[in-house]
Amino acid sequence: MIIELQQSVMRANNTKASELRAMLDAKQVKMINIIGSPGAGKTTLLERTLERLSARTAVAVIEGDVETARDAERLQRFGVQLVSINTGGMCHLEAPAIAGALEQLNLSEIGVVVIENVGNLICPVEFDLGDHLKVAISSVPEGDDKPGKYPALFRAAEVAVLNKIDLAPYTDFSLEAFEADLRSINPGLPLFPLSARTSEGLEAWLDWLEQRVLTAPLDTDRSSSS
Amino acid sequence: MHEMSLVQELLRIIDDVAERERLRDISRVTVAVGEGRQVVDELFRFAFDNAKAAGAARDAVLELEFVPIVAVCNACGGRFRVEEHRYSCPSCGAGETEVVEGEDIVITELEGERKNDDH
Repeated sequence: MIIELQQSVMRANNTKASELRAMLDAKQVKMINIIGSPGAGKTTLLERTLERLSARTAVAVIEGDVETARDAERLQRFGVQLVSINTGGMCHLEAPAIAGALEQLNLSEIGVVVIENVGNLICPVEFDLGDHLKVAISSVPEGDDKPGKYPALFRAAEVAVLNKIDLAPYTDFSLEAFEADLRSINPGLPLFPLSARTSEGLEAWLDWLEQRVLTAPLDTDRSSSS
Repeated sequence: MHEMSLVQELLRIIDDVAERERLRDISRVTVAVGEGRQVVDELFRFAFDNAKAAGAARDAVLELEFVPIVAVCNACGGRFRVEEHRYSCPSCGAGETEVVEGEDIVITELEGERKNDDH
């Protein structure tokens, strides 16, 4: 006999993610999910972002690290609450792991939670974590073809950061080609070209982020539908 | 390789349905995979064949049906297939479009034998 079904394999994670988002909304906490390749500069961007954001609101960081606590160690100087999820080789974080991490945080004292996802352009995109804002970070040395090769990330993201623009003169990177792909994949996606190392372009990114997470109303629909 | 995570959830659902529907000897599982979901056919099958031994789907063959990405234009209402990552409307050029198909992974059919009542 044949049994017909319509049961989503994504549903268990997505349901958990929606529960987390509702719980965070109730506590007026906003959660950011940073997704990018290994070496794109996720931790450096986070450091530069914390320098300003942690002066405005209490920030907690959830670090998804495959094997080490090295990234977490880099962030300790900001005095933020920090939970490290050692994924033990898994290529992405899932909502239940975030639920466990959030339980370790005192959310009543926190305004923003930042998740640094495992360095990977595919798998993290497939698992909503209950975040309000997905940030796609790419960098100049990775090449200008990243949006075209990993469209799902740039579809899911609400904002894109292009890091290491100080290295552009030493590569064949074309900002025009990068932007043309982005427009085709996700028209209207804000892009911030910057260098977390030299601070070029950093102000614009920090202004946008502060506006988005400290003053903008929660945009729950978008995160769950994308 | 998020396919393994997806397969584990798939097998969990199959076990649930098998118990609820009193199914045994599941011979076929059909899954509709949205093309927007970055699933690699071979990796998904490989993960399934390696993980299925413990549960109700141990003898099952996996059938994957890939579902194209379809979007609807918020401006003109046109419905179009997204190809080569072009998500803007091909009719009116508007950028505000909404994907309506091809973003989920859904179990659509299970084939097996129903257990006899005296078992």
